[in-house]
Amino acid sequence: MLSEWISTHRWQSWLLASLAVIAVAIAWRMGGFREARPQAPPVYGPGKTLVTGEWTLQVLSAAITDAHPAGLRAPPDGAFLVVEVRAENRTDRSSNTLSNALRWLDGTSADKEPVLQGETGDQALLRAPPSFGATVHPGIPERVAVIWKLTPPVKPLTSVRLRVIGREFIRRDSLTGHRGWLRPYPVAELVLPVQDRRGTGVAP
Amino acid sequence: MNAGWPHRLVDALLLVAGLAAMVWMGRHLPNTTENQAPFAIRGKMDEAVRARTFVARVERVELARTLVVPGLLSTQPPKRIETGGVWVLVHARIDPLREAVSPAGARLRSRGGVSYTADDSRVDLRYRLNGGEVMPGEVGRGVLLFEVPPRRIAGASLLLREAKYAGELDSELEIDLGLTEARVQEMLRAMPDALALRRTP
Repeated sequence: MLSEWISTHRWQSWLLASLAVIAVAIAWRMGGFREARPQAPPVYGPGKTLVTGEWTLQVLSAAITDAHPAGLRAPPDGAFLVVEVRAENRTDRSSNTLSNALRWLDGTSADKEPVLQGETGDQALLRAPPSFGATVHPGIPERVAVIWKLTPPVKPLTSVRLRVIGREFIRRDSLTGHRGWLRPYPVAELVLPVQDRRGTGVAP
Repeated sequence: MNAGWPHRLVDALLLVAGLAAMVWMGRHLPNTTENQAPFAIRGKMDEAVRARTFVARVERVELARTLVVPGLLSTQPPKRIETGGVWVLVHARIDPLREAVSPAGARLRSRGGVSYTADDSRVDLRYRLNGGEVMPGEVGRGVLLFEVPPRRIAGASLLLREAKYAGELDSELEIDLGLTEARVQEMLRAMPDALALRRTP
């Protein structure tokens, strides 16, 4: 039946076959036949400069403390994990979304999405002087503290594993039609030694 | 080929043209953010510029390397607030027309289109105009504080809108601050190292 149709519709058959070849070639060019399994992100130590879509980040250090950088008091037997980051905003507008770019993989609650697992910081704030919220402006690098609250009992920590999350700039989101930084993806993982500064009364 | 091939060729060309038009439209038609963008109303320094719900006037612009803000209590020492760029202080006045107005969405936009939101975390609410609401019948007079790299100050304009609706399909004032290259250089030379913020009367 098919061979009969092909023999009677010669040029349509050639056209369809050509279109199929072109479609396969476009799909191949766009990476449609690449291995679908995401590759594990590279792992670095402190001080590595990472460039995501929105940020240039240099994660400097991590510490557990009971003295919050902005002066808040930790709950009894609780503490804060404070991660120091040097951040530069690469976009064309001020942004306060830095805490979304870091996930703590050893956190107590985990996201369901496997590539983005981890816990975002409860808060990010600028250093010098400490202030609530961390709006980072384009062209003005800032030192930012990203803070996770640790509820008692606080387990001893010698190192933390953080995942740096990037996002792509989408000119027209297919759901809402708005532009924005969407489609998060893992950029790298960082393993940082943790200093225990509890009891010193000094914020990191 | 049969006798209808010219028609088929035309059909095929129309199909290709239609697909090309779809791709072009997908790339060039405005997205939802652009479709719902606020309507720009342009004005200048020292002019009363009228938006849908308020009238604004920019009175003067100052630059400073460091701000000095009094402590929360009289016993506390003043706080010095540094920036990696330059503080741009825009002294403005806002008169609401019909309803309470909050200029929380104030931005400074550079000549190249980079926008800087008014500071909302470093400086106490008592010393800045953005953050609170101005009621009808009141005059909201105060300073909008921006942190901007020095190279992006010349040619910058102030964008001011009512925060309640995030500016979508509403009016947004675009006020030219008169910051020419020569004036900015002069202001940077004369800029005080530290500027004390005073509470708005």
